[in-house]
Amino acid sequence: MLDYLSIITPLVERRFILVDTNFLIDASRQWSVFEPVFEFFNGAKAILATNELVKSEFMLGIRSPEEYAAKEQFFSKAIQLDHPTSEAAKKIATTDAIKLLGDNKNKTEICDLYLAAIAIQYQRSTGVYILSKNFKDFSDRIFDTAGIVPVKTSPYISVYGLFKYSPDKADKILGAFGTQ
Amino acid sequence: MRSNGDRFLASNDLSAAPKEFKDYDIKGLRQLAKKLQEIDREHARLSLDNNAAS
Repeated sequence: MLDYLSIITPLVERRFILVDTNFLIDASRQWSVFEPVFEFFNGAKAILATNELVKSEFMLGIRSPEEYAAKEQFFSKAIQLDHPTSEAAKKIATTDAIKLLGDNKNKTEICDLYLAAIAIQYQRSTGVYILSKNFKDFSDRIFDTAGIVPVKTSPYISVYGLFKYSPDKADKILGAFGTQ
Repeated sequence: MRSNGDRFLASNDLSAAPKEFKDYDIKGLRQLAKKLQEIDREHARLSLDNNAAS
């Protein structure tokens, strides 16, 4: 499984990886199997980034001050760039991102909507991916699955996608909205 | 003031990747993940104790 990661090294090398909450939660709960994945990203000089909404979702459910402190520290060590959602991304979240993901068939979380908005904001960049196991929100209607990150979790293997926003795919959907 | 990350993302230029990003602190992460797992186990134990007492 770890051998597979070397295949995607060129894909993630020095790239920004926008991390979804599910990856952080899984990593904090089953660290022994996730540690090599973090080491892999580290070796590839990839930058794990995310925004304040993902952090809030990750922190939710704390049961003690001790757990708050441990989660806070885990987040700050695991995430290299706590990227505040820009005004531009906020605007996209309520316009194009809503048009693309807003039918709510997949019960899209606000968090995912904002991650998508950041990916849309930096669509011209070749170096921004979303890392998530949510294949529904980041579906191939709108995103290209550039690679996968398999992790041998228990009891099943978890597969995380590296999603790249596809303006070509999105334009077909956005076209139906005209110039609204 | 825009952060290095902002500048890198906005530039759409991978060569502009900031060099000063911290390295992963794997050792620290390992300790914290262990701590979170201990808290989980402790809460599970307390929950079982409470259920047994009620």
